[in-house]
Amino acid sequence: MGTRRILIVDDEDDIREIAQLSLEISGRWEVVAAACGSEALCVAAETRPAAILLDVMMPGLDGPTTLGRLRQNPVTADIPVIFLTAKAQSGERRQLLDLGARGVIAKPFDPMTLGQEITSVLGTEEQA
Amino acid sequence: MSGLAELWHKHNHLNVERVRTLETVAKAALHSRLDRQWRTEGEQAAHNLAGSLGTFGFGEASTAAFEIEAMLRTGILDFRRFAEGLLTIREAVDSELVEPDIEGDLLLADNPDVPGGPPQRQPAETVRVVFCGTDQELVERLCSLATPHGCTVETVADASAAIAAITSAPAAALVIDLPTGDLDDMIVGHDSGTGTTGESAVARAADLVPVFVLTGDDDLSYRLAAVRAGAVGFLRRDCQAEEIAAFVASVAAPPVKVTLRVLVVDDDPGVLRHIAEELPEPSCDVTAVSEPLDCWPALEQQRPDVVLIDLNMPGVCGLDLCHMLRSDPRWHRLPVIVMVDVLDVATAEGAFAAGADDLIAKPVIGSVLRARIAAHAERCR
Repeated sequence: MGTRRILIVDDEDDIREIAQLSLEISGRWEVVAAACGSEALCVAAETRPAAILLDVMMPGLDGPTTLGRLRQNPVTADIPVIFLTAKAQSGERRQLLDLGARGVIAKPFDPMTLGQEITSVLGTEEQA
Repeated sequence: MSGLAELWHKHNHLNVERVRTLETVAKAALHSRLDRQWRTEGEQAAHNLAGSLGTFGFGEASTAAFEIEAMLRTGILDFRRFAEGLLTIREAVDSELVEPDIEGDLLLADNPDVPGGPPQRQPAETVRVVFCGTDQELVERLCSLATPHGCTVETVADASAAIAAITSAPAAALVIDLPTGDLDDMIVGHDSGTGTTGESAVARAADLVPVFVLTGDDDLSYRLAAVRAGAVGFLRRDCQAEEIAAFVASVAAPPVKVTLRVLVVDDDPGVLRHIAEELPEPSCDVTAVSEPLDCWPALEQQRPDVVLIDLNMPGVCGLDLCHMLRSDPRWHRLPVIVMVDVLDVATAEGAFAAGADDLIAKPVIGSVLRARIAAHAERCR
């Protein structure tokens, strides 16, 4: 089974690195990372990942704004985005999905099952 | 291969700082001094703790952090719930994460027949507090509040029993209740039989543990005598039991081990070497900068607790850097100690006017420097 590239975007170093550890160990993902929305825009355009795991609450460009900018760039417009948020109540989840996200994963996530959650959100056609 | 425990050790200092922020917020709330800025900072710290602790497997602490975040967001504070939650969070942050077999766990997680568990943690120990007094109602109230603060309370009736209790087994604090009378004997050490002044119970105990005095008499002379005898706390008996418990617990609880980040700016490499030697790891994490303006990116990178700046440097001097720090909202509250070759009145006035918090004369004496750095960092938390 091959690996696919995923971009993790979170301003909290510990969360970003634990997500990276979790996904890399699974052997199914090659991880690139960004610590803020503006960095994410550059990294996404340069590396063209298969998916982006994007934190909602970040200083500077927040998750929804970053998603909007990604959609404006033809290079990154079609990359599936999964939001990562501590406020994953149904109303908020709906709003995030309406912005064009493929899915929403709640914080705190379980590092043991993060890869499975992402695979589940992306659906069978996205699986490696 | 790096694992969860390694990441925990690498990043847990962030959680330690967040706990410190919440402790400051709790104290401010307790004294009705919680302003908007601290509320916002506390809310952010609780939010980050909730995400971090939950991801590392501390579900209960994560829930507690979410609850505190909600309290600060809404402004509806339940102090008892806040204190209980903070204790749960602190236990988690103080815990040692046992290195889990994350690779094995991931494989187990893929197999529904063999469930993988969260990382194992070692629980923090409770601390023993000795209470010397006979007011049963107060004892019961303090006992009920002790557990949420991570303390157990042992009651003794008089001073000699208190001394015996703290010498016979490890204790984190002694609380001496003095409703009336007894003040001379316990604090001043007055011997009513002979009329002489001997060593007080407070002084004897203070050599062994932190001592708190509860008294109904707020006479300043007794307050002074208690402090001189070595008491670390002097509280009126009519203040809230919650306040007493929180104050005692804040002193009695085992300190969170913190590595102080110190940024040193000096054009003399010899001074930089000397200071790095005097501020060893793991208690300090020193970043040394010999070019004054190089301190600016270093600030962003290190996020120091304290900055040490040499006064006399070519080009950009220490006072310039002080002004620059104080003019930036990110650093205007950062403790700054200026190192000077000659400590005279004019130099001191100039440094304080530029925004320095403290001055220290060269050659820097290690023990004095360490004490000053610790004091400034603590005050600023």
